[in-house]
Amino acid sequence: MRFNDAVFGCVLIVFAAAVIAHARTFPSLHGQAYGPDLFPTLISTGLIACGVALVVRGLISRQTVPMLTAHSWSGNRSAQLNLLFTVGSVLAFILLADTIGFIVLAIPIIILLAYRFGVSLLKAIVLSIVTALLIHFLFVRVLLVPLPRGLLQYFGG
Amino acid sequence: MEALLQTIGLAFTLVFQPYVLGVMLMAAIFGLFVGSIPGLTATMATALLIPFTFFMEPVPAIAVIVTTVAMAIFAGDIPGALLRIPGTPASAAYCDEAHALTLKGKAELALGTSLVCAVIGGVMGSLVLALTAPMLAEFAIKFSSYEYFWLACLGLSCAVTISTGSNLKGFVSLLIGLFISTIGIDITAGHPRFTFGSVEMMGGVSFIPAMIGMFAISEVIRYIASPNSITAPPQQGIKHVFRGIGATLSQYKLNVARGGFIGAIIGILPGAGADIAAWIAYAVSKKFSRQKEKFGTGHVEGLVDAGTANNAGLSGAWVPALVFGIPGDSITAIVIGVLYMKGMNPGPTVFLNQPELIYAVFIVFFVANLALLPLGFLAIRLSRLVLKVPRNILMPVILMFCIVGSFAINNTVFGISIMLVMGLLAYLMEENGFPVAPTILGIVLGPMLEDNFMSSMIKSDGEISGFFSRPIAAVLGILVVVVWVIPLLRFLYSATRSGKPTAP
Repeated sequence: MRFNDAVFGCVLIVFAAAVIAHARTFPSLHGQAYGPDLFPTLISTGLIACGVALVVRGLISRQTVPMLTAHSWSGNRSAQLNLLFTVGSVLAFILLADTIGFIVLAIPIIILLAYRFGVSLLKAIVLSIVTALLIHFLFVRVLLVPLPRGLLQYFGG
Repeated sequence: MEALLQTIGLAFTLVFQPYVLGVMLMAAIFGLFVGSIPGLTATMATALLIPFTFFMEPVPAIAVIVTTVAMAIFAGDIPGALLRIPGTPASAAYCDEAHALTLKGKAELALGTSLVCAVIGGVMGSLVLALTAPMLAEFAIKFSSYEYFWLACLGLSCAVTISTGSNLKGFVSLLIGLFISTIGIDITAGHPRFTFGSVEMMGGVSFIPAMIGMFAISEVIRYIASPNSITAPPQQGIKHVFRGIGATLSQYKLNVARGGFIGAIIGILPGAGADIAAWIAYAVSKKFSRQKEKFGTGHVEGLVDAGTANNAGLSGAWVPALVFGIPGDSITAIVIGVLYMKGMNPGPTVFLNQPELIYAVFIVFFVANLALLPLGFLAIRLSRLVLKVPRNILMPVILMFCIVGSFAINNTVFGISIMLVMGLLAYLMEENGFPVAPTILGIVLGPMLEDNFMSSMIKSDGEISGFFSRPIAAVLGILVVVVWVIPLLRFLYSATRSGKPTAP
């Protein structure tokens, strides 16, 4: 997804202004001229300056660079869906990991993504089981990371 | 002298243990594999490894990263030569040249030269590191918060001016990194900044998930957005990799020395890593070559320069990282983050208190680069197999490793959220020409910049002049101002030039 520089410039200016407004609420140190608000304010001032420069540059080049370039894949529904599925899988993991558990969640995610990327279903299923068990072994047995067990805890496994 | 020998002896015992050598071998295989596959970079390899190094002692942790990266940077040459797709960005500079050699039927020469030059470059860079770092550290031990403030400024300024692409976008990228570093409890006043009541944000943006997001997730997204299939490598016998290497090297021995030197120096500059070293070495090689016209048509000379330079640059980047805690490239930025988490803050005091650790790092560099010779040879022989591994099988696996790695640091899913956000951010930035390296440097150097500024201000009672009150600080401060002014002058110069109609 490519944007004209002006779009980025505007986003940066709005973001930086919000940061400055929020930083003004920080308490100041007693007897000190500079407090915790100094660096965020300085950084945001820099971002606003850059944002203005980007807007100017973007407006100059607007004849040649459209505000949003429909990337080759924007027209490609399959790539769009894949991106959606990938981000969705990560979100699903964040939301469901504790209740469902790593292995039960990882297997369908890998099957779904591998299948979407063009791997045959059978291969995707084998891949998902091997990967989930390998990661489980590496992280839980070797590195002693308590990956969420979720549903599997009822089976004592 | 005797103390030094004793330290080196101790360092040897730290490195030459079955465990350390074993993990180095595994890291080497991993690095060669990741580097050989187009679309998976050396930085991504490092990012995927940090969750594992998190659970290791400092020496094996560093050994794993050094070995992986040295191998991956060389392995990036393999698909570059065979398929004209650089395996890592550091091979991009001479990828066309190497592929042109392959088209002439000289794939053996291209890969052999790359390999031997990578080894020589790596060893040269390691020598530069081992010789300069201890000297600089002796000097740096006298530095106070003023000097460190200026050093951090210098590092950040270099990151912007040297980075690829426009300086303006580099600066934006840096500011984004600096802003991210301010999230969490502020160190001087203890006030939570931009946490919006979230307890998990109080500790700031966790470094490892952020790195995994920026370097691994962004690559996964890029693959999904443009899934180009890889063409099959040409059927060409690659058996006698070292045939004719001796003659090539003796013909271009000056190029080897020059490439190694350029690589190490550029590596030392903060923000510029192996990829920029390779571009510059290739350009220098072409400029001073007696056979300029042959460049680009499958001429081995540029390959010698640039292939030496990128591996030398890797070691060079560790000089400022170990001595000042200022990363020389994005890989050392990750390393510094890892060391901080282990409670081993890089800086001159480590040279003083735990010199055996530093010498162990040097030894690891030599071992890794020498091991590159046989292992790289093996990788070239196996390349046809590795290049056949389909990326649509790798990507879901990589994604799952990223998720679990981000989870494993604090054992919370919050890390995964950070990973996802940073991954999307890095993808959007790179797509639109914003370099990512300055953001990483901003995240790593932000706290150093702010802490040293605040404590200097408290020391000097709010007087800015304090920053120029000590001789070294004054020199560094002036240097920073010069680095800032030069691009500005250049900009004004070109603006006035282009404004006037050019005289005939």
